[in-house]
Amino acid sequence: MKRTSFNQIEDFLECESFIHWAQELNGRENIFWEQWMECNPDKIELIEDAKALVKGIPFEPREIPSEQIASALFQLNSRIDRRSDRNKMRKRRAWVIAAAIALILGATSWTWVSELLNTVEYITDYGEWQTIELPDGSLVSLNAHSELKFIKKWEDGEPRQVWLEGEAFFDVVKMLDVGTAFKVITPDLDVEVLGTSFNVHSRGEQTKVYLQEGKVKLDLGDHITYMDPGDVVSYSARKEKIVDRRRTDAESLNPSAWTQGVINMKGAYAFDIFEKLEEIYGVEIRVKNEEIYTREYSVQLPMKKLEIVVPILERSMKVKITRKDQMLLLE
Amino acid sequence: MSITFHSDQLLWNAFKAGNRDALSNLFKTYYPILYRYGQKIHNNHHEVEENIQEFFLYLYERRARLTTPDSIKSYLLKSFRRRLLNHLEQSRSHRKRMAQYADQLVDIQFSVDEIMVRQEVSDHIRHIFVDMLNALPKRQREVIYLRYYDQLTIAEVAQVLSISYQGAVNTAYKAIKALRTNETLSQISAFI
Repeated sequence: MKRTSFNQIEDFLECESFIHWAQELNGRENIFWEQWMECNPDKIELIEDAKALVKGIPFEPREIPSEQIASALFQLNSRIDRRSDRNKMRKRRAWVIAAAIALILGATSWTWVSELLNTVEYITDYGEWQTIELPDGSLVSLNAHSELKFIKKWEDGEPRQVWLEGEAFFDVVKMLDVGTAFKVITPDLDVEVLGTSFNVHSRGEQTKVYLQEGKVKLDLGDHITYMDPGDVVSYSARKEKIVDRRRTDAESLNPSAWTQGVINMKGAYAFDIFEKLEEIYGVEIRVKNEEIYTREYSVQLPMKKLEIVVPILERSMKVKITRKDQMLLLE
Repeated sequence: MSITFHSDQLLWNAFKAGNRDALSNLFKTYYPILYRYGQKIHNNHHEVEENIQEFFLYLYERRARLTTPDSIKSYLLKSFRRRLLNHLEQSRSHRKRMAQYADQLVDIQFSVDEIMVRQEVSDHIRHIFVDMLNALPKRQREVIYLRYYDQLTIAEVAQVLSISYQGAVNTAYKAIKALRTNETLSQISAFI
């Protein structure tokens, strides 16, 4: 069925018969469209434009050599393998400790040992936060969509270790005893401290450590670096390098502000605000007009359920937000 | 290489389930498109390459949480574009960032050897045509690139650029109109 009226360019573009004709496929359509043009001389200009729009421009895309694709794929695969090896290594490490303690105590006390070695696991969902007290009294604020693991009971003199994926703020109790270092292990790096407060953000790409107070040592596998209060270091194990190192001066940029129960972003790009919200709530944010990405906003959002946050976001960014399951559409 | 919608979706599901063959297949299919687009946006082979690598690693690691897009092609182009622009944005000075939206960093240029050769057309005329293309506004050039160079549908172009369908039609239309109403029309009619 052909439409009866063609008034604007889209009317043509949505008509299959027209597209066939414009592509010069020489079908039965030809007669129809030639007649149509004769009957509608006022629309010849429009139909010629529509035809050009369908036919387009004859580009000849550059060939990408197959060797280039193969070598890029090889690189990707080896990076994925290297990364999963590293993760396996982390898991093995916990078993090595377990095995070592088991050896010391002897096989008879296995039941007791296994209970002792039980790891505790805290997992927060999107839009969920939790404060956890570690066996030594240190406090951890676990951000949304994060995972923290540690062994239930910590021995004096043993290094205190936790495994983190996601983001957490640590307020570590100082131990006078030398050797009772505190370690946060992430897929990228190990953070080692002796009593201090710091934020570790380890998601996807890289791990970002922010030191609020005290002194920490970063173990990057092949080398070590020290941080001073106010330092923010981002490290990517995949790239095997520190990707960013800076000092925060403004309070607004404080990466641990979320522990105060607010997401506080001053003069931030909308793009960054969206990334943060996507990370915390597991939503996908779509915008009607992409120009908004590079606009700056100052928002202060309570870390509450999404239903509460959305209206506040609407007001502070002066946008309209429609929510559809896990998608937010901004207009 | 074109895959039907149905098997495209199967491929995506297999990829989401962690199938490494599906990852390889996806990579081989879309690498050329992403690489070419990346080079048009940022003329630095190493950085484009690195961004593709990181992009796929990111997709692979987040695979379980990814949604199933209507069009894999436009989904990948869109996310990769956003990622690359974000990367470029970070290397710009603060003042430059203030002066320009990241979107305006996309300044696609066409070259004569990318226009299909037709015997009846002289080199001189091909040059005139390419100059006309490159004189179009940035946004129009990007739409032209996605629509005719990468062969995306108008709906897919709209998706990649996060604009409405109507907006994509209008932009493409303006570009074509500008090319067609140029006074050298008779000479370039071989192209358009």
